[in-house]
Amino acid sequence: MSTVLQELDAEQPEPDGVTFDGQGRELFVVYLVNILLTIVTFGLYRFWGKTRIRQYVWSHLRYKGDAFEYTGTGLELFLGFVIVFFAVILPLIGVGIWVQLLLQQGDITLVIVIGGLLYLVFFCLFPIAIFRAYRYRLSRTLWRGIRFGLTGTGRVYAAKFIGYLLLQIITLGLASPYTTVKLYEYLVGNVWMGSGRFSLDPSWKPLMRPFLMFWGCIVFYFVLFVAAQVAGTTSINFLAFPTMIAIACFYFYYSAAVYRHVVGNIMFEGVRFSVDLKGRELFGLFFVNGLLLVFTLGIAFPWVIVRIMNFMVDKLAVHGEPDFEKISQNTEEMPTYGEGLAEAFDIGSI
Amino acid sequence: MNELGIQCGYFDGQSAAEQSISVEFMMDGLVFQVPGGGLVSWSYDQLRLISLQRNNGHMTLGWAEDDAVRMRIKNREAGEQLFRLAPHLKADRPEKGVMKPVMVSGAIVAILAMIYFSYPVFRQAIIMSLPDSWAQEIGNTLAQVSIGKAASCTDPQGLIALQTLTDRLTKGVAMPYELDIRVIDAPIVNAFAAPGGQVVLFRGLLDEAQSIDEVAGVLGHELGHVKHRHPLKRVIDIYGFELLLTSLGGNFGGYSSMLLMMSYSRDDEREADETSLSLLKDAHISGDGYADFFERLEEKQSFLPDVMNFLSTHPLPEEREQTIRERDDVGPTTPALNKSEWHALRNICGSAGRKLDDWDLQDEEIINI
Ligand SMILES: [Zn+2]
Repeated sequence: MSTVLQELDAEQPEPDGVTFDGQGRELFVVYLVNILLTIVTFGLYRFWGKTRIRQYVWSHLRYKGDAFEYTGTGLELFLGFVIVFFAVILPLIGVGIWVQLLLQQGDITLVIVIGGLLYLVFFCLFPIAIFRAYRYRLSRTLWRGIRFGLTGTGRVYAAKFIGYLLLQIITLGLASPYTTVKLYEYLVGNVWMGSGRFSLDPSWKPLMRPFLMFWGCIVFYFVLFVAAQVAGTTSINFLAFPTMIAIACFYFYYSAAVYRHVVGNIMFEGVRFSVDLKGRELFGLFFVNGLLLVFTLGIAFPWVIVRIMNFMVDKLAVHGEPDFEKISQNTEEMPTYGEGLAEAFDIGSI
Repeated sequence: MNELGIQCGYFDGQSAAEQSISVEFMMDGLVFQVPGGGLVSWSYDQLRLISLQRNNGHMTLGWAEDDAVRMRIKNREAGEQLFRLAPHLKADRPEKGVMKPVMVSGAIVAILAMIYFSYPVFRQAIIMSLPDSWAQEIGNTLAQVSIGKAASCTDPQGLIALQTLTDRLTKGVAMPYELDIRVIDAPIVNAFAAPGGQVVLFRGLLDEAQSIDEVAGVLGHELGHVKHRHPLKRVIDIYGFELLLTSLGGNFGGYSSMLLMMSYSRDDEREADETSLSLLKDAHISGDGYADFFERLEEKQSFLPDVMNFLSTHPLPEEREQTIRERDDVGPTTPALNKSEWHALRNICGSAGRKLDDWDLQDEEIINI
């Protein structure tokens, strides 16, 4: 019965590298249905809705023509949220109420101590939430049936996160390129595709020059402010606005440099990557996306996602090809539930 | 067989390498030789569409029997052929199958609307089927919470006067419960009815009242709540709402205390006012006292911002006063109690002539009548 088809099986060329063929129009349908069901279920459907959005985005992202696949379920996200709600959020709310009561009793020192501890707990949970969300998403990502994964622990990531933050504070921000790269090194170095492991060369010195421009602008602005205060004059106020513009420009300039540098130093089984990305392009992406969201009251969200995906795919290049024979299935343990903690911090809208 | 099949890609779930297979499209499934293995058949209903490539119609398929293996059909015509053989694959994408969720939403909305509109009927059924002893039990508990440690007033002359007033108001009127009317020794200008025929007047109300007819109006109002079983209605509303919140999976325990303060609906209050007027009329008591009471309530409340009045579940005092003043002519009236009885009632707590400095406008006081 397949005889009619036999002459058609000449292979059509597959697009090389990474491609994305999702459409805002289609994603909008998914999004609209999500909103509808989320409303009638009093918000409960959002976990399932999120899953459908991811399924759509993943299945339209391809490498060598083969689509990525999202295998997470709404139930996993929901259970993850329920667990975190009872294990973390509710106790924290309890402590918060306790602090309020103490405040009414006027026990200020205890309030400061407990309040401080509360902030510290929040602060430690935040990076753990990020790490766990990455771990869940990667463990639910397949390519050619091979599972991705993230090893390492949220605790180590949080320790590094906080340690590097302290280092930045001590160095007045000058350690930023170093800490940024080192944090990425831990994250990227723990990403696996099957038996293949990603790694990041932790060089950071090339980022110093773009960072110093950004940093210099901020310092200049600060000096300007102090000088104006000391001299009691407003005659240099006209410099404030251009300096702020410069800070914004150099922020995007530096951010683009970080992306270029970090992606350019990722290695995977002999494969290298690069992003051809300029600061103004990054600014343009964020600016237009922001306008789209603001002027459509969020309705344009699906198109914003598609724009971001297209942008990334457009800029990303893959150099070389791994020996696919050598990449075998991932045997790491998978997390059972998803992202509750990240949900609590409202990290990542898709 | 190989010459007849379609060239497809195969991923065995063990490695990321693509293997080449030749697939035959049979009536009931896709048949092919697994590289280094035997002949297998993926029946159409076990297939899952993982991805469909827009520009060339290539597709990735999964198989229910082994979750790691994938097949890649790199041929638009073969893909279209597959869609004809396994039409369910077409809906196997997040952006497809819109009708189903829309219908589910519609159904959920319809069910919620049905629950909402049929709820009063259910509630009435529950009220009717609850034994009176249960209602009294609930009422005792709630009244105890509201009264706290304050004592019931027991002056014998006062109790007789209270009984006389009650008898006069309820003469020939069927009440669903046996009445239990008490005065509580607390300087609050308030009164309330609890489930199961309990009515509580606070001493402050008697102290503040300028005539016995005012007290009669307020008591008639509370008796109106009792007659229409409003307190039980309210309790069922609160428990029903908590049940709903709990069943939605949240822990909303903290809301219950807030809900306990939730009052009757404005309709209930109007109904109680109407009942009070009809009780007064049948007992040949003037409604002017009750109207006077609201007139003074109006003055006391005038400093409350309008927003508060709007949020309040009670009708505005001026509106209530007006309704009472516009009532039908009731013919000749006599005071609800004679002078000595009224005096005895005021002294029911053994504290003659005590006067409140001013009304305490705190929390739910006053407005709850
Ligand atoms: Zn009332």
